[in-house]
Amino acid sequence: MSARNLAGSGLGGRKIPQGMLDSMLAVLFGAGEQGVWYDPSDMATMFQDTAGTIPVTGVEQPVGLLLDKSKGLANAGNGDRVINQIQYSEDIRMWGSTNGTRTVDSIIARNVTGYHGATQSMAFQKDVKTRISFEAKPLGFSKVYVADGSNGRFSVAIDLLAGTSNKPDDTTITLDPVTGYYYCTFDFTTPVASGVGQIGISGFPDTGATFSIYGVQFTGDGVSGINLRKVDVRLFADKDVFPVYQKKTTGLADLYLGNHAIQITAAKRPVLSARVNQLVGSEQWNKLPATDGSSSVTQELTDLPPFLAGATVARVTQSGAATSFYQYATAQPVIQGAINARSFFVKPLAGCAALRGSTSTGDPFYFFYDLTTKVMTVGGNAGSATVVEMEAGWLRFTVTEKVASTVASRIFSVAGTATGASIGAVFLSVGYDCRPADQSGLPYQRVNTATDYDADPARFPAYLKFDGVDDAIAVRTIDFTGTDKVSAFAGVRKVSDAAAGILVELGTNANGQPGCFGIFAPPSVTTPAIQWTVRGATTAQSAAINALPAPATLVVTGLADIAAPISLIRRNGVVAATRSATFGGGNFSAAALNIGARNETSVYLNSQIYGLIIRGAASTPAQVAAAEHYLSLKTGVRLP
Amino acid sequence: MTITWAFRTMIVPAAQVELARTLAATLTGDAGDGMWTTGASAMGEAPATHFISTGMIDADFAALLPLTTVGEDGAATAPGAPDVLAALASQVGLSVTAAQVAAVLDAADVTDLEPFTALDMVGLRIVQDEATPV
Repeated sequence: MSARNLAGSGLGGRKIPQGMLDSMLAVLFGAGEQGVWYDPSDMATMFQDTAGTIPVTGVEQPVGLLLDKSKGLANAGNGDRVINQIQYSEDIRMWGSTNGTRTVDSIIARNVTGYHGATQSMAFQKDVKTRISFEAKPLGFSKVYVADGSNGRFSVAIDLLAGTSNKPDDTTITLDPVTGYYYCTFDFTTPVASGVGQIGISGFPDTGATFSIYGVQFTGDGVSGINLRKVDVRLFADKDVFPVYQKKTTGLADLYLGNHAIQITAAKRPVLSARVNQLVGSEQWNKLPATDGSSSVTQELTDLPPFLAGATVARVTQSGAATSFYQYATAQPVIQGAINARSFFVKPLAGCAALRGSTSTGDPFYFFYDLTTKVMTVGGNAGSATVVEMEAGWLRFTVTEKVASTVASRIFSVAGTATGASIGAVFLSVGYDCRPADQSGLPYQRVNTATDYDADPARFPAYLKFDGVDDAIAVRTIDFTGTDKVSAFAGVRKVSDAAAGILVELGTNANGQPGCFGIFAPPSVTTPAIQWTVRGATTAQSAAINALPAPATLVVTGLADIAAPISLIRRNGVVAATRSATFGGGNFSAAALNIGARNETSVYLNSQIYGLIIRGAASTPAQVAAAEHYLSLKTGVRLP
Repeated sequence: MTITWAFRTMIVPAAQVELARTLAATLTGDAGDGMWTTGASAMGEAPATHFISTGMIDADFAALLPLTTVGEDGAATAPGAPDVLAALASQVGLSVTAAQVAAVLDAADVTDLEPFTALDMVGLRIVQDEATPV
């Protein structure tokens, strides 16, 4: 392969055809296995908000909803658009309350005087007829009050047993003799301005209650209340649209089968990224300013080869008596404590005898390349410099150098050596790039600003960036109780070992909670590893890829069979560690699946996730190979 | 439907964090609920003297907060709008004075810097969890 092809190809030959995605679904989830398949490279599966109303359209946008592809995004039989306007249609624990005690399906009045309803904030549209429906069952109280609990735009008092309402023209009450629940509907139109309101639903006793716009007030006994479920608030015009009751927990995600992950808090959402080059203004010399008086710099669009098409290059012209002439930029970011790879394209024109570069005026590292002999000389701190001859006379220099842990920025300089003094020697340069050295195999990345850069998925794999401070995303509950086997696959770039991080964890502590598992990257600040931990009924076992300091990009696989017992971890398709001690039996549990943090509140991951697949089943060698091959393409890792 | 985001790193002293959490949750709803859960201190040890929250927030809300920017000429801070924040809070039933909001904003360090850079600038480190996951 030619140098040009090497430099420009990147992942160009690694696009994943749709046919492969379909076969992945069949191979890994064809038997209906419980699990998840998250694919940050598939922008159609990501939304900036949890409700799924704002799609992710580009890099550097937060991801509040991550759709699971393990069920093929098949319709869940819950309608084909979001109709129910309430946030949580069931699980009353997710509602608010002033005094009431809430369970999954009930609200019980506490033994105090006040309001005891379950409440949720929501907006009602002005002058638009709206229908509220719900199912309620007496649980000590047989009367239900429904109201706009903050503005009094509507209210209705329903007697379930009597089948009556104070708004008989707008209310229907129907008993289901099998379940004992009463299906109630109530229609209303608000004549006042729209805004943030509140729906409140409460049971109330026969006596001792007073009513206001906020609801019904009485003294509870700590026992009596109502059962409540299937709350639906929709436009009256949609009253007959399927389904009559639409389950609503997030929004768009309710329409698709799968275990979709959300993050409610905006600032905690991971960000979609494809950034590799740490510099900005990579093609704008005015953002990498300065010469030392020995040269003049102009910017121009010139006739460039395809790998630089559209770039703005700097024309650096010798302007003094010195044979050396420079362009340089100060305080350019570098990755602390890591080997940095800096690269740039240079084309020597008239009068150039040599090209040079250095990484600070103190010369921690420099190189000198003789254009005639093509001999590269390096000096200063340990490092290396290479040059690749591109087409049309362009050269691509790459300098690698270990940066001290305390160094956050350095000078970035490119220099020419003229064949003589004051002869107006010239070179062109463009495409400044600085990245961790282990990513030097990816092509040059144009970066204008932190949010405007080349994110061509054929060249730069997309990932979810977890910041190590507060980012997390989670599935509220996923049920693995039907299995004692699990397979987990992740494409990940571990960015830092400075603190323990949770890549993925079922439950709130895979080490201490029965029937849970997790991948830790790293498991602790003193252990630069990636660890797979599985706990059965009584005992946790861990297998680790040790001596894996950050940064490291890899495909990690964790496989476990509690009954066998066996647990193993693989690195890029090769077994790294195996454990066969007992887990104490048992199955896996039904719990939250947390990604990027423990229980969304601690052990935050400082890494990048390129893909994540979890199957609640054992995997055959062919299935393992398929998943690892797929993630290797997503991650840019070559498997042996 | 679209939304404009602004990247912010917000460090709040522990003494002010409860009101900061309440304000964020009250003024921005669920999207602002659950902020400032990560503690920080000078040595990275408990107890946390500060709490940090970082990421994309609604740009309209960000515009009401102070913002410290760091350039070649040093740091400069644009003030927030405590009066507006207090008024908005009162509209949705949270009783808080402009002075109380101003105290939170004055004590907070709000930047558009990456979180570990922002922590370095104020001499703080994230408090490591006592319980290791292994």
